[in-house]
Amino acid sequence: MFFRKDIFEDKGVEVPTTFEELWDVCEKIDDPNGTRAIGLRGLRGSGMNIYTWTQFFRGFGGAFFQDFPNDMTPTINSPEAVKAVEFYAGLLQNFGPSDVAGYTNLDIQNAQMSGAIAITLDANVFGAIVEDANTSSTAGKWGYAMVPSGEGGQWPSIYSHIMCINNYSDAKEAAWLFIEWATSPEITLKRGLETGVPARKSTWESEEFIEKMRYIGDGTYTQVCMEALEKADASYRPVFENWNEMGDYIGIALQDVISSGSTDGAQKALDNAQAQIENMLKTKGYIN
Amino acid sequence: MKLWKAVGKWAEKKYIFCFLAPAMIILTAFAAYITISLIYLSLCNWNVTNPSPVFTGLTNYVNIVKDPSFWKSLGRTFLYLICTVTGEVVLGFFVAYVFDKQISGMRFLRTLVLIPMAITPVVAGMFWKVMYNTSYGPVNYFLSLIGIKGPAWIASDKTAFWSVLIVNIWQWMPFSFLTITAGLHSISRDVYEAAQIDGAGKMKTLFYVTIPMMKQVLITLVLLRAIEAMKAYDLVYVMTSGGPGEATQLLPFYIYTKGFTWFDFGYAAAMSLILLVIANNLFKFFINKSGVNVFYE
Repeated sequence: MFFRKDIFEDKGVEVPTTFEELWDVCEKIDDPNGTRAIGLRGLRGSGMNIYTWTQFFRGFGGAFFQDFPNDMTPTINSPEAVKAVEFYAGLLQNFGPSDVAGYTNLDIQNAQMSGAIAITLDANVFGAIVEDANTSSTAGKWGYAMVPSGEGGQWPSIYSHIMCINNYSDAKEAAWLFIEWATSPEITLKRGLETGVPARKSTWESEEFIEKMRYIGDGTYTQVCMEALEKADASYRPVFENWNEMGDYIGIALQDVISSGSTDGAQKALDNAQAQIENMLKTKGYIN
Repeated sequence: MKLWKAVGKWAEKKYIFCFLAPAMIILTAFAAYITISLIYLSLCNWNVTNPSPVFTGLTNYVNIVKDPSFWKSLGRTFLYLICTVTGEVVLGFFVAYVFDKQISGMRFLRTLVLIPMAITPVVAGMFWKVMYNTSYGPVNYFLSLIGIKGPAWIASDKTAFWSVLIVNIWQWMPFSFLTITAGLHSISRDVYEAAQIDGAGKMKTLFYVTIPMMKQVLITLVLLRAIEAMKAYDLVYVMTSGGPGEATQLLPFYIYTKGFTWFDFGYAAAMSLILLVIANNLFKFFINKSGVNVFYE
């Protein structure tokens, strides 16, 4: 969670640790004519708004399936899901920029850098971007904290890129050796110092790396990232072949509710998405 | 020997056909292979992890008919087609008519009008996205200066479709402008003189002389723009990804999403085939109805 330290100090609010506190904080610091309280991804997509929405969905106790991967009955129109959609959309409708329904991760970055929003819950890579004094007008003003939690626990978002070896490759051995080299601790450290987002715990804990990243949030950034990495669960979003389609259906429903101006349509939108997903799972043979 | 001679005689007579044959054969083979592959794929279910498609007959088509998203996307595409062609042609005609004067500086103005068409659609989409931004975009800023609170353009389900439409019309109106200017110049002065002698005023001349004489040009222009509108994809992808919800999901974008994001190639192939057939029949009907020779017949 990124938050504007200066605005929090100005308005005298504490860093929220639960969803209720988050709502209260947003209410207090929102300035409709200036910096809006919060911005979150709104654009539909299993890797777009669903990426950040799942923090709330699972935080409220929701689950994508009855019992993944054994029972693939989707449960995305459960009361917890409706609550998560109403909360997410409500936050954005009341305390977010008026066109947040179409926001991508890049729009969130721009909003942060131009001072349009004060809080966001998004990928840690934004840290280096919003603290870059050359392009960001809010460099040095950001604080870092763990995402708030709810009845379902604390669910920091997590995503990683992977390397694969093609089954039909003629050079499998060479590919494997490359992967071994590229993901080795030494190379990951080198890359981490350049990019700021290494994939190895050893890099996050190395003195060199922590020193290099100190300029982001005065050292709190690396601390929070390590804590989040510990807490994050790889089953954040289900991993199966047709996740893109399922996530997109939910993303469409979510964006629909955000852009409609009210949260009344949440149950209906989710029921619709549930029907589409059940249809898809049936045709693909996951459920009967 | 006799056969050879006979072929030689035939080639001499039909020499045009012989010259065109190599290009025609390659084009036809290419187009035929693609179309046949598409038809075959539309009858299959190709699961992305399976290297070869599995024949399933007409299940894709049956599912498409039952799919409300498909019908809604198709309806939206038609609405988009009608609105964008009308907007482009009417606006283009208006600008061409007004700019059809021999004043100095007109050439400069004409160049200015052509600028939107010179921009890549993707770039146009991205820059309009920034323009439409409500926090720091110029459109809402200037509206606020005259006291209007601008809507959330591409982020509101009520205005998203029209916002994308406006960008498309903005970008392609210069094309109509160019075509119609050329058409206007092809009408000889005699006709206008005759109309003047007959006592026709400006408006009457416009509606009873200019436009009827431009019928061929206008019909061709409308047809060309309609075909482009049925392929509308780039603006939607860059500006809204089909959102909010499905407000700007046009059929070509839905086909792309189904095929390349959700990896259901058979279904996407079936939808593209349906779109092809509908578009084809629509244009044939339109050409026949208007009674104009679009191609050399």
